[in-house]
Amino acid sequence: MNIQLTVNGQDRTVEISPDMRLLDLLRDVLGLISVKEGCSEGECGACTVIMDGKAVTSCTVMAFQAEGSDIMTTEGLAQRGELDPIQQAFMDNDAVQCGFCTPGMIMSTKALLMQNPDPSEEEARRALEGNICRCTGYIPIINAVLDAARRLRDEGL
Amino acid sequence: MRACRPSSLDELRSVLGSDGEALKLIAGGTDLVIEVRAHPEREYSLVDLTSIPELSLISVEARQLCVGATSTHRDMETSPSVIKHATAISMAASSVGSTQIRNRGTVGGNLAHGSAAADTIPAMACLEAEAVVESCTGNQTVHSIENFITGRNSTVLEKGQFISSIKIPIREGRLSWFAKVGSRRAVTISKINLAASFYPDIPNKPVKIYIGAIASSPTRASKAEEELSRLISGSGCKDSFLRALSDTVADTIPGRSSLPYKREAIKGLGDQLWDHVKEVLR
Ligand code: FES
Ligand code: FES
Repeated sequence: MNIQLTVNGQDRTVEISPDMRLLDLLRDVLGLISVKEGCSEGECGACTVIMDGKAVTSCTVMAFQAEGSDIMTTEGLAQRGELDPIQQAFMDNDAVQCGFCTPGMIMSTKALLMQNPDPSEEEARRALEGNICRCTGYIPIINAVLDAARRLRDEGL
Repeated sequence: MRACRPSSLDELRSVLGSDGEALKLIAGGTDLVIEVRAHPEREYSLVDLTSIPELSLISVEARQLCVGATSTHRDMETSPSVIKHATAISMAASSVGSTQIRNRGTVGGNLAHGSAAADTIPAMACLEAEAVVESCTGNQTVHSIENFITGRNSTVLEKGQFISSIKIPIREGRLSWFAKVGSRRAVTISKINLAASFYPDIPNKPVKIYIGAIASSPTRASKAEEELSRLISGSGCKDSFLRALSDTVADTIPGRSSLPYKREAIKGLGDQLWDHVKEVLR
């Protein structure tokens, strides 16, 4: 079956099979390998993408359900060869170790900051509760989220 | 596997009418996608409900709050009508510890899946909510939340039927509350939870208390309700209240290995509820 959707700002028509998940569509059909598969059960957040403005785990969405939706992955963040301020903040705050959780963390952060440009630490923690990191111990990640928010606000001024 | 996305209720009814037997309805997918993948041998024919706008509306009509079946936890957490008229439901929805699951998981999906641990179900029960179930012919039946789940992952839903909405009566002066003890920082399906509704200014109105995640359906805690009513009428004893809750747990899951933990955990939640009601009465 064919579905139409927008991925990282581009309109796409994609051939899928009915048993594919959104995760499979993005990784295997479109080659967007920033989207990681960890637990396959909606628990770890590694496969997080933004669907119509909201963070979702792409391993628990069927691909056919994404018909007509607007999907954003980490590949869609960098503009003209420059990292997005969220990506830069993750690097500058040492919020990346093995990196497996990072794209999911970044998309959860992006979804948060799209709705709430000035989150408290508590709000940042809550927004990322569905993302698990085995390496960093979360503190640098939360610092990165708050730092990214600051950078984006400064940019907006 | 087959898949279709009806865009209206009429289209859904005709899909269900043509091929009712093999169909499986999907909404947020937070439970079903995992189930589908665990059984590659089964021939699933999925029908998506998230493409039907009428199913996700939240409205107030004729002293009732009507929550569309595909309203997400996030919708319930943030809807001013749900926060006002069904506080326990919005508290339960917001207690689900993963943003991604709150964004996708739906109230109807929780019910249809018959998951004993779903947080929203005892919250709906304490508000005397009812599920509106429709068949492909447009025939509607209404089921109390308390009796909706009939056993482990089984419900009153029959093939060819779908939940269209949850109706919650709006009652003057009624407040409600929810809390849970979870298993993990994040995704936490409840180990045990507690939901209550009460009328702080009208002492003789009924208090309703349900314990969730100890049986397949929410468990009514009648003895604890009596003690909380006494508190609202000006007396009441917290220790008796906590003991009553704990006894209800013991009576519901006698001999279960989780009993020693759960009968203590419920006291922690009961303590929070008692203090909350006292605070409101002040
Ligand atoms: S792979 Fe999707 S949440 Fe873990
Ligand atoms: S950096 Fe390794 S899992 Fe987070």
